[in-house]
Amino acid sequence: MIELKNITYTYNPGEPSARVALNDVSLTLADGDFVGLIGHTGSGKSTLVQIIAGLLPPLGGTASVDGTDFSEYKAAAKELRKKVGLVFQYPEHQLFEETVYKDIAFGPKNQKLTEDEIDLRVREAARRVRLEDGLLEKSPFDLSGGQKRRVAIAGVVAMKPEILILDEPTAGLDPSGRDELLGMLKELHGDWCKTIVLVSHSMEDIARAAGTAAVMNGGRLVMNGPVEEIFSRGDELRSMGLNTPQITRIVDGLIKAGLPLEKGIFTVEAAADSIEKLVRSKR
Amino acid sequence: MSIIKAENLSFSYESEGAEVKVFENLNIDIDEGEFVAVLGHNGSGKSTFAKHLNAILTPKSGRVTVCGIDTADESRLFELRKNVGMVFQNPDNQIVATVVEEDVAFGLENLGVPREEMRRRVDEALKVVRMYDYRTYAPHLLSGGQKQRVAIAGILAMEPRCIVLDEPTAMLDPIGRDEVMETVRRLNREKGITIVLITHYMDEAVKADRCIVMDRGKIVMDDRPASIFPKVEEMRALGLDVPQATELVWELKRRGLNIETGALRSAGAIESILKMTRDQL
Repeated sequence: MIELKNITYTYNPGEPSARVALNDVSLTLADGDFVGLIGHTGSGKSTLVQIIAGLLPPLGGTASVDGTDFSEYKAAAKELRKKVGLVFQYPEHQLFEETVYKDIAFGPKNQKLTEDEIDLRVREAARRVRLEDGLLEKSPFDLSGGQKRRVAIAGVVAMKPEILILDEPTAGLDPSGRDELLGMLKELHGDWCKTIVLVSHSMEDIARAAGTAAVMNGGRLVMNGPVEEIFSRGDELRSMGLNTPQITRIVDGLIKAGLPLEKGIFTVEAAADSIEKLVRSKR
Repeated sequence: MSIIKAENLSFSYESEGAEVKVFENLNIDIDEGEFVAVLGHNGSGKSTFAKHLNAILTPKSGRVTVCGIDTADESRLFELRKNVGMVFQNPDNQIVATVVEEDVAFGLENLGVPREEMRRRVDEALKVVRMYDYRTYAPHLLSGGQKQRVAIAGILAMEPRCIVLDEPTAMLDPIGRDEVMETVRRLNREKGITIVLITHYMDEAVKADRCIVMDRGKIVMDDRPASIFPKVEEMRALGLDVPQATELVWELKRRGLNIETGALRSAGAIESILKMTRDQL
C-alpha cells in the first residue's frame, strides 16, 4: 500500500516559465485497487505517476509505503521503485534486445534473480500477456504493433511489481486489441499485481476495467471514488474537458426525459438491463 | 467526379524471405468532396492503402490515380503531394520549425511561393484551423490537438484538394480529439476538400459520409455509416466496434423488445428508447 500526502510539484521553480504541475495532492493506493487515472493533457497525471513510481522527487509532501512513513522522498523512492512497475506510453518504442525473450528478461536480470527464476518469470509474463511461446526467440522488431506492445508490457510484468501503472496502454490499438489488453489487465490484477493504475483518456476503457477512478484537473486531485459515482457527475467532468462514456450520456438523457433509471450506469449491459426491466414492468 | 481511383492495386512486402501480401486487386473509387472513413483492425491494410495516396508507397501492380495524377509517375510527385496532404498519428513527428507560422510556411517555401502570397496563405490556413492567435508560439508549448491543427494548417497552405489522415487523434485527449474532428469536418463541408480518415474510433467514423471497412486486404463493407454500424455482429467478427448508442438499441432488440434499431449517436438512441417506452404505455 502506498500513501502520498500533500504532494506538490512545480516545473522550473523560481523562473518566469514556472508551472505548477501538482498542487497538494493526496492519494492512497491500497492492495486490490484497480484505479483509472483520468485528466486532460497537462492536468498533472504524468507527473503524479512518476512520483508514485519513485522516479521524480516532489517539492513538498510525504510518502508512506506499507505503513512506514518516510519524511525524505529519497528513502521512499527506493521502496517505491521496488514496488511499482511503470509502463510508459508507446512502450514498444523502447524495445532494444535481439530477441523477445531477452527483452522480457532484462528487468528480472536487474533484480538479480537466478537463471531459473528469470526463465520462469519470462515464460509466465509472456503467457500472461498472451504471447505465444514460439515468439520468444524472434526479434521484437519482426512482430506486429500489438505484439510489440505486449512484449514491452511483459518486460515490466516479469518484474512482478505489486503496483502496475500503465500510461495510455490502449492508444493506437484497434478495438479487438484494446479489449484483449483490458481483459489481460483484469486477469493480472489481484493474483500477479495487487494494484493496477490505468492512465487513460478513454472513459470507455476506464468503465470496462477499473473499480475506482481518480480525476486530475489543473494539478489537483478533484475526484476520487467508485467509477459509478464519478460517472454520475457528468456535468462536472465536461466542465473539465472530460466526458462520461457515451452509454452514460444516453442514460442521463433518458433520466432527463423522465424515465426512472439509476444514475451512474456505465456499461451497455447494465443500461440494457435497467431499460428492459423498466419496459417489462410497465407491461 | 472521382478524385481517388485505385485499380487492381496489389502490394506485398518481404519478411524472413517470404512474401506477405497486404492486399491484392483492390479497387476503390472516391468522389471529389466525399468524407470517407476507412476502418479495419490492425494489419487489415488500411494504412498501407493510405500511404499509396501520395506515393509514400507505389503499387507493386495495378494503378492509383489521385487528382488525375498516376502516383507511380515520379515526374509529377511534387504536383501530387501539393494536392494530397497527409496527417499522421504523432503530432511531434510532423512539426519541423520552432515557431508555429514558420512551420505552416515550410511547405510553401519549398514550392517557391512568393513572399506576399505565402503570408496570405499562412494566415488564412491558421485562421481556418483556429490557431491564428498562436502563430508566434513555439510548437512545444501547444497541446496535442493544437499541434495536429498546426500540422493540418501546413497542409492547407498548399491548397490541396484532398487530405488523408492516418489515426490523427490516437494520441489526443477528448478535447484535442473534438478539435481535430471539428476542423476536419469543416474543411470538408466548407471548402469541399476530400477527406480520407483512417480511424479506430467508431464515433469519428459515424461523422463520415461513407465508411470503407477493410479486412485482410479486402474491402468487406462500403456504405453509409447508418447502413454499416447496425450490423453489430458482423462488425464484431471483423474485430471492430460499434458506437455504444448503436449497441444499446441493438441489444434491446436482441432481448425481444420492440425497438427501432440503427441509432448512431446518443440523441438517436434516446429517441428510439423514448418512442419504445411511449408505445408500451
